[in-house]
Amino acid sequence: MKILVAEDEPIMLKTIALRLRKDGYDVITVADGREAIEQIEEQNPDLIITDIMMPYSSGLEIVGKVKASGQRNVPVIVLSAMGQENVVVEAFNLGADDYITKPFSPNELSMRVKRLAKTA
Amino acid sequence: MNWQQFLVDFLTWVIFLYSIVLLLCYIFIAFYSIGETRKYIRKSSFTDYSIMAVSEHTPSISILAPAYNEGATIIENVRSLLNIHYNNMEVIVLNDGSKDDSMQKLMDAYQLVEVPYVFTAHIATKPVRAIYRSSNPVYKKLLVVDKQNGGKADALNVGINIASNDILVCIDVDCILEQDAMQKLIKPFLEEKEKRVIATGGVVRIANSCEVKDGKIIRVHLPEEFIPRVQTLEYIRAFLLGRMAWSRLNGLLLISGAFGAFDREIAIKAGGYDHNTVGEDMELVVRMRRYMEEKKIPYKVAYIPDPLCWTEAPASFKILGRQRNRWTRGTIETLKLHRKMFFNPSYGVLGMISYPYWFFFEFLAPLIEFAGFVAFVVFAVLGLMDWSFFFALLVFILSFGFLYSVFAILMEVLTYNQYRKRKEIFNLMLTAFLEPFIFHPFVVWSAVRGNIDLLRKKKSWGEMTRQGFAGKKKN
Amino acid sequence: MQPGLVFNYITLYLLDAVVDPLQLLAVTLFFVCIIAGVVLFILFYLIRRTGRSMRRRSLREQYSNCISELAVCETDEELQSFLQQPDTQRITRLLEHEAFSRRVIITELLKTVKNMSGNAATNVCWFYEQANLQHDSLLRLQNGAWHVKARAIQELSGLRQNKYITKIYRHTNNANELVRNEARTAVVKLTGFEGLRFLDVATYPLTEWQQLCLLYELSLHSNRSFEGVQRWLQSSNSSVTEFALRLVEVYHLHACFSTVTSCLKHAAKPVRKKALAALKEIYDPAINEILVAMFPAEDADVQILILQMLKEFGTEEEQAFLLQQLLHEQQEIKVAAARAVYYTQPDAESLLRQRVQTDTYPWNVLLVQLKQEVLL
Repeated sequence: MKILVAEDEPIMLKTIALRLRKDGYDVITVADGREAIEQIEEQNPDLIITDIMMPYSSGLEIVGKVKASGQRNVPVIVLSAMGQENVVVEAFNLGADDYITKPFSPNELSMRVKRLAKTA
Repeated sequence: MNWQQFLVDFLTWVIFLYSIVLLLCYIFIAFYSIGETRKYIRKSSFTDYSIMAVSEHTPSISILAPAYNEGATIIENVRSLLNIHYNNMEVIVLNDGSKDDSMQKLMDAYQLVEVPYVFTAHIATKPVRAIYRSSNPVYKKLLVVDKQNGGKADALNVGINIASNDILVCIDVDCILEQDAMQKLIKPFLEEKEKRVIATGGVVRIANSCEVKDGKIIRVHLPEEFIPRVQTLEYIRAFLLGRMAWSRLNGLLLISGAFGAFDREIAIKAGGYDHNTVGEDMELVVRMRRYMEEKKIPYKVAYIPDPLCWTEAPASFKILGRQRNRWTRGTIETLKLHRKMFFNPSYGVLGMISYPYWFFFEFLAPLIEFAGFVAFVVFAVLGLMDWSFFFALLVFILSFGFLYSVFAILMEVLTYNQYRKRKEIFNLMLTAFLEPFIFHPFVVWSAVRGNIDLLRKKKSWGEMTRQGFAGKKKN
Repeated sequence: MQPGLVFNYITLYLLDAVVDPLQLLAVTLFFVCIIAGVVLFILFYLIRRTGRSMRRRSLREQYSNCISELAVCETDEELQSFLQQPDTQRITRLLEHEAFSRRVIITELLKTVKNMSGNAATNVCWFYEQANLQHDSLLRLQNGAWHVKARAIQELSGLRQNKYITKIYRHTNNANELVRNEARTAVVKLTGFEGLRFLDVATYPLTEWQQLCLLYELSLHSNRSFEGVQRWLQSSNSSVTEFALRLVEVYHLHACFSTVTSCLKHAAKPVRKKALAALKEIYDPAINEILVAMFPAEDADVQILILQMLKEFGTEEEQAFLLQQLLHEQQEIKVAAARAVYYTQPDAESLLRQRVQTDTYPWNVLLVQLKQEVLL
């Protein structure tokens, strides 16, 4: 199973990747929104984890793009420091499958990925 | 003593005093800015600006972006505005009756649909043709206003009327903003309890020769061409030394039209932008300050030195000349409109320091300098020149000017240090050395032309033709 | 601003009488010396900085690998084997000897705990102590200038050093605004709602920024206690009252209803505005009457807030009042009133059509706009 992680803070990106690889997933890491959009098209991941505040494209835009494309069945988890109600609602409206606010626990993330991976 | 002798003596002393005060002002500005800059840098060293992006309680802002014939870049620019990291915001693009395909491009790219939208005309403007929103929920922060052409000030006034939030951010649509720009620009509004913050000004930096990709600066370079490079130096001096010192005095008169935030209520009460002047950005700040002084409400105009906004500077003498000509006219018109404040103690720092400084050293300086040059030519031709004295004074003035520039470069290096390569810094110094010979006389001449044009009541805007960033990508 | 130099050629000629060229040359020489000094300093500084920034980059790269490995450790055995790794050992040895590397890693650790919770954060804080890094932070808290102190407070609180809370608490009423802010934020970060007790003695005003920081920290704590809110609502420091009103708003403290209502009479406008926002969250029908009564004396911005509240909670009782506002001279108030009517009154559209000229602006547009708004 292939998971794409988009996050601009290197430590965060490395930690998430490490945690998910421990669970036996294949992880693709990208550091900005544009690269994320490119890699999603190219690599066809089975699950996407994205930050919101990234260079070039916001995570919400990525959610909107994925859910409006042929990959709409790919689950997307939004992982962001923005916990404002309107942002969370917007993310779900755009089709996000889960929303985790930072500070987050990598273990919790791993559990949520597992749950979504089952349905995917 | 006859009257001629008296006149010459009098003039000598006036000019001598003027020069001394001017030099002292420069020295004062240089030293006075240090403390403020240091304080700001230290504060930033531990401030977590991201709270501005993640808090539920940040003030809502309306970003006003007037656009006139920007079809080449408008899609990309609006996109980067929408990607700014700030939660409670709306982006209002004001299409000022563009003659190109800007409007159609916006309609297509953002799937715009016309919406009924009631707003109050606090400030009289040219009519609005239609208001659009995106039908795509991803772009729900976007509002596009199509209006009849009326100039930048008029477009901004429409934006002030339509905006639904208390803080307005006015930007040039062709500027490149850093994504955390709003977090930093809005914060000063939250930091004062005793005074009302009526405006915050940001820095404009020069983007020529920088690597730009998808509306974002990838790597900063010193402009390769001479003209933009001197302007880089000018901007460093003005923003890092001049404005920093003025903000410390709470006497800042000018906020760049390209990047500044305003308190909407005060902007409306002061009457909005004046579309009869070509210097509407300076005029609005002066008028808002004047309003606050007259109402006796404690207030503050804040200033943020972080390089957050990048713009393309004119690269030819022709366009630069037009720009400086316009600046001169704007300054004079503003000073004239508000002449009541000249050395008027009831306007505090504004009346006693800021206004006179602008009058004597921004408005008069190029005129005196020009008159001096004419006198020099006359004396030289008539053979009346004392050459040894001439050279002594020349090297004195040159060395002082160079010192001031080098000091500004030092401050840049110690603070934001945008130019990473050592070569670029020394190139900047070389530019500072050449400036008085190649660039400065031209700027003075443009200012003089501005005065002449104003006397002839010419009011054209001096169009800036832009090449667009997309065409200047460096790979 | 066009800073340039005045080449004053008139001066030149005239000044001949005032200044001696030799004196001028002497001053020029002095300038040239300073220029040379500044240029040399810039050169020296640039060389030193290039080295430093390269070193910082390489350290960061190493640390980020190390920290991410640390963050995903789940058991004590894993943590021990993490410590035994050659990379970790090398890093800890370096940390012992070099202050610069300690500073870099503290920054990275702090960034990590800002973004992570649970086991990952616990591990990071554990490592901070393990490497004895809190010693550095404490030293800087004691001896540093204000910005160094503020930073040290952030480090200690971010990395959960609860045992030093008294040292931090001491600064919550510090004369330096920025140190004070950090200390206040820090005690709330460490102890949650309990930390708010500094509000009882706060003499300086809490800026909006400070309030945002405190609310953000509180939002990360789950064990809530609102014991002081009633007291703070009545504080003589009006910014404390504002903050308490925000607590009422965020945490829906219905118990404070009557105190909040009395804040509507507060002399400071920001307090009244925040009281309205709070009442929106702890609404009680009894408030409508008060709102209508206070309306005439208020400024336009507060009036609009009142109408916005009536848009949510208005009843037929307020119908006459709202319809009367349709004739208000300020368009913004008219529009807000019409919106309130539209959302709350039965058969609102025909009610509005009777009262206003439907073929003139703004009514012609507004009626369509409201219809669309409701549909969304």
